[in-house]
Amino acid sequence: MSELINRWFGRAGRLPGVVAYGLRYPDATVFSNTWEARLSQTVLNELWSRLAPMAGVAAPGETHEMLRWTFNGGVVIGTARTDGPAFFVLASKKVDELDMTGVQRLLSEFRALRG
Amino acid sequence: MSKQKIILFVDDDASFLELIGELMQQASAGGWQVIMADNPAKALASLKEFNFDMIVVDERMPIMSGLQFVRLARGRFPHVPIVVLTGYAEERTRDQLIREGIEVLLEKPTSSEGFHTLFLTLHQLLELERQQGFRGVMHDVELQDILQIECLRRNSSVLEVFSKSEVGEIFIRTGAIVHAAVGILSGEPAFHHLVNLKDGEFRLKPYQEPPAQTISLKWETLLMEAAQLRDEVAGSSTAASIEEPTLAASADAAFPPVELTEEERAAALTPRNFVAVSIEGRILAGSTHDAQNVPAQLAALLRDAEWFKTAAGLGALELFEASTPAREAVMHFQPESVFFVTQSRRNAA
Repeated sequence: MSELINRWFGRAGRLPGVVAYGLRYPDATVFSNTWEARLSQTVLNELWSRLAPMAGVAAPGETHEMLRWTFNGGVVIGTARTDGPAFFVLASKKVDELDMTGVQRLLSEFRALRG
Repeated sequence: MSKQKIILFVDDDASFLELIGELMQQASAGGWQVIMADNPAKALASLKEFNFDMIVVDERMPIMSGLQFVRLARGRFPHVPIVVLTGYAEERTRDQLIREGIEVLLEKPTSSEGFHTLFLTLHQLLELERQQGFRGVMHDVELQDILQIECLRRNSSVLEVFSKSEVGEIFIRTGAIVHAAVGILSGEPAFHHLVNLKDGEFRLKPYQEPPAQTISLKWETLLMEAAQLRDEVAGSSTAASIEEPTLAASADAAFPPVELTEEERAAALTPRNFVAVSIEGRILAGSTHDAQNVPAQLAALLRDAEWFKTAAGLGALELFEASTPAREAVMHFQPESVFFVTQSRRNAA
């Protein structure tokens, strides 16, 4: 785990259209941050843990710069760093509600942070 | 390219400093060198060592407050802009800080959004400082005249030229024009494009080495060619309406469209690999390299997908897209099957 990444994650502010953030390390440690009372930390932690292996099936052993899961009721956008940690954004599916520029900025920051 | 700005951040919170240093360096894309000091003593030592473009100091610090530090720094470096970060400054402190001549009193960021806003504000302040240098408007002064003067005096400088939509640079090294760049153009096409811009401004900056030497013609020849080109355009526009030379047009000339053969076109459109798999792991269509037992893994993912709908309340998983430097991959989920296609970046382009 990286203290810097954890600190950055803890300070990632809420963006319009975003429901939760997730952070997953290669050792399967996960962190979640949400503003929605209906979402439990347990479910979110499980969500990131279930999403991450899909990237490994799609392109094994590669750095997944951009990941996107489209559900009937929402979307998860993510990215993984070359050293393994992955960052997820659970958001509204409605394009006009989501601050995609802000999300892209967070993804770029996450990829560029020192490990 | 402008020179790297050196910014000093002073704050007693070491973890805040580390994060702000990282994010500011990142946001400036290497344009800033961030020096961090977690106490006034280190900050004062840094002031001796570096020639700072800006100082950003936390107002609340033990031993020496931000205000006291500002007084010391201002006395020694009267021309360096100072920004004070504060979360809860009292009115009296604010008044004192303003009297000390600080440039801006900003709220200390607590979120990623706040860090981004802080960067934009500091960047804007630095830009304002930079614009103190010599600048002109093309209506008032001919760009060619400035170039001629710089070359005749055998000066070294960088002429930054900017219009509403473009910014370019012309590098002059001891009286010789050695490089020009604007957008994707460089060398002589960039030079001619810049000197023939009708409306815009320019700024003469201290010389920096260009990324490459792309121009070897003598400046007299370059300026003569530019004048001829301008006369030709002017002549054409009086004879008939003619479109202004645009960057896009210049770029088209520099990079003519690549003609693909039918085979290349077909190869570019054909997926490298695809497979459709049932929930039991049976291959329904396509094929796959089976070294990692992809059909079985896909079937497992499909079975797990039920969890997203029931436990997470996200509804059915419809699509998963992954992009790596080497490839793009898509999984399309149906209730009883999953279609997986992957193709290399080269073919995807």
